[in-house]
Amino acid sequence: MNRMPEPAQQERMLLVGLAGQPNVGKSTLFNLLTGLSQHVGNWPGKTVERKEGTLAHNKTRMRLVDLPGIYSLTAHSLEEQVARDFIIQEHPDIIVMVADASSLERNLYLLAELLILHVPVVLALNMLDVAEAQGIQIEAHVLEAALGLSVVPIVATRNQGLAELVAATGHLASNPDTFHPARPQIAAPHRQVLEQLKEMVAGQVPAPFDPDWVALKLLEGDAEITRKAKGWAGKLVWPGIEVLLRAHEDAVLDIASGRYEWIGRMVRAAVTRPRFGQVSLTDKLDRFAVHPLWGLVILFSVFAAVFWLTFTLAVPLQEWLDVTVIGQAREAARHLLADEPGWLAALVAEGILGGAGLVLTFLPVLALFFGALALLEDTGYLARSAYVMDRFMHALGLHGKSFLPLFLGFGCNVPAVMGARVIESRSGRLLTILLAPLVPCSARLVVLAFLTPAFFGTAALPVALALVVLNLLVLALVGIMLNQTLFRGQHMAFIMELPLYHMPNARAIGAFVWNNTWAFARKAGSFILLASVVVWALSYFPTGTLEQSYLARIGQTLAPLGGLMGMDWRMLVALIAGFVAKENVIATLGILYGQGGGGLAHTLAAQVTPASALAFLTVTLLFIPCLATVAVMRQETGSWRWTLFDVALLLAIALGAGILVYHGAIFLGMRG
Amino acid sequence: MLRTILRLAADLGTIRCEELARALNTSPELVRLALAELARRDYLQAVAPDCSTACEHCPLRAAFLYRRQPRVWVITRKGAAAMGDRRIHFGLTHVSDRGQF
Repeated sequence: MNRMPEPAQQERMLLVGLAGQPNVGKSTLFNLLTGLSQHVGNWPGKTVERKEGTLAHNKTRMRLVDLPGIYSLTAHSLEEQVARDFIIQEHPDIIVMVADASSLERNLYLLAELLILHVPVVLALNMLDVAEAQGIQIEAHVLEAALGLSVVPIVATRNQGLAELVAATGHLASNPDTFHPARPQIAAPHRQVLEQLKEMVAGQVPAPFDPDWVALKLLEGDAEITRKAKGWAGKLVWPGIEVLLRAHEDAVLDIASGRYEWIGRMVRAAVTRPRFGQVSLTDKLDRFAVHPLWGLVILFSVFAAVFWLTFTLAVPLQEWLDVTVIGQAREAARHLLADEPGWLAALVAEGILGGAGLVLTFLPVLALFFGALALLEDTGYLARSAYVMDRFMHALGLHGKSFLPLFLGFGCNVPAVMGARVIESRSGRLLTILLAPLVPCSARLVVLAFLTPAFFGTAALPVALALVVLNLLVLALVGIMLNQTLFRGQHMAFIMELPLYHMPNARAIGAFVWNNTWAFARKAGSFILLASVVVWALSYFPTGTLEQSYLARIGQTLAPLGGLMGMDWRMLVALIAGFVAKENVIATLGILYGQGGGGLAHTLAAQVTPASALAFLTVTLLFIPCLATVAVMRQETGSWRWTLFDVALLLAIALGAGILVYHGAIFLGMRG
Repeated sequence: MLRTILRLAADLGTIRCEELARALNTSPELVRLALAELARRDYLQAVAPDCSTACEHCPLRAAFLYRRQPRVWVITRKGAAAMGDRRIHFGLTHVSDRGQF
């Protein structure tokens, strides 16, 4: 190989195109082969850079043209069009296609398209070192035999195999008759149609286009060739071609299938992949994680473990903060403000510390909950749970496409409603938006995590899980109902690619937990603080006693409804206060029930019966969504009618479920 | 192969790339390429974004479960028509197909 040849020694000049996908080492190879002989310009009429250089091999000079990096020759991009035009218009003697050995399938697609153009090709199999590092073994001679063309292994970055590549190129140029590659064939259903089309375009296609290639591209639906062929064929021939093409619009599936099957055969023949490492581990774990039965068992166990951790670690810490920190702060406030007006001490101790202060004690619960979810997400498990739930929803007749935004609802219903934007059909989007508030969000789960131990002690974990399952069952039933009535049982088909399992990143999880708990703290210091002050004011004025307060008067008008569910007016008011933000449920309970020495949990346990508590928790989970969610529902549906319909539906479901649960619990022997 | 992918997805409701690769006796990499081709030619539509390149305004980005989401494709009207599958519906029934809901 000589980059600066003596002209006198040369007999012929070959035109060689260097083709390949982006980032396969094509430029490195071009630089190594041409050295200082390069010159750079633009492709005629295009803004794409054209690089050329020369090299010599024995008595042959080669003009090497570096084609733009392309994935195929479909002329979807300017680069693809330039490469295709070069091959058709300039008739290169040889195309050297550079392929990334570590991603052979992807690269062979381009080769399949080059071979259809009937241009002689030498395959430079680059990055073999990368492939080997990934455990991928490629037998180049087997690939060569299967493809029926020269395959030269190279490592361009180490200047390995370049002489052999140039020699193979020179040899093919000298012996073009030896080039008989195994070309991809169009899959059976449309072979006859292609033959028919070839006959129709024969004699219509001007040089330098190949009529057979034009026929194939027409059947493939290639926009540029179709436009050209329409002009070539004229008014007499084109209508017949057009009728045939319209009758076989999906022929592209068989053409492309032929290429993929061809790639599959080549790879099966010559490539051996590792059966160890991350991919294999993912396969092994997924045998269980996405199994129709075990997948559900694992999903349920994982969520049970998250709740167990929350109850075991975070709830005791929350109780300590409630009793010790907030309790002492309230005592201190009362002491410090003893000489001030009574309402001021009550505002600080009961309204601010008893409401918003109490909500702040949930920071450990939230931190643990978010930490667990982030961990599951970062390992890749949550994607599996989405897949498992998707099957579950399909089985129940729910709109399967809704799973992703609905799943986001476990964090917060607001992004769940907004996430419905990924669904392109209006009906699917609307159904998802209507169902999103039924997903128990983190705020409601926090209320659940706090109240179930208070009411049910050691039975808190199974009760909490049962309530979440009940919540999801209601979601499924409402989904079925809406799907069968408003949306007439749409059937959707999905293909899913799950991410590999992954070692969690502590920094990412930590940052996520911090961001979310800090956001919660800011919310407690703004919306919840304001709502707490309003609730306190309504519960204090005009007389300074709860029983004669404005809130009591409002609450007592609702008392008959509460009676059906075993709840007194204070619990109803707490539910209503949750409309501002779900955390307000606890803040309001803290204000209305007061907190004795044992904190709110002990006060509630002493004053609320188990049947009432169960009904209260059920209604809390199913109740109308918070204000932010309602606002986003209105924004995303663009309709007050649908928003209010959903609010009314949820209200009816929540109250109906509360009544059923309360009376069912009493029927089963629970204290009412 | 491409028709088989569409058919398997339509028959099973939901299918993973790995299951498709096993059913087609090929590699997941080749299945991914085929899926990209089907999406490029409007037989499939990507519904769950690949969040590695999600923009700042993506609604999913506001949530906490966005980094390792599955990539999801759904069969389009064109894909269903190519199979002559009447079970897959895309139109609306009681809900207006124009303007707001």
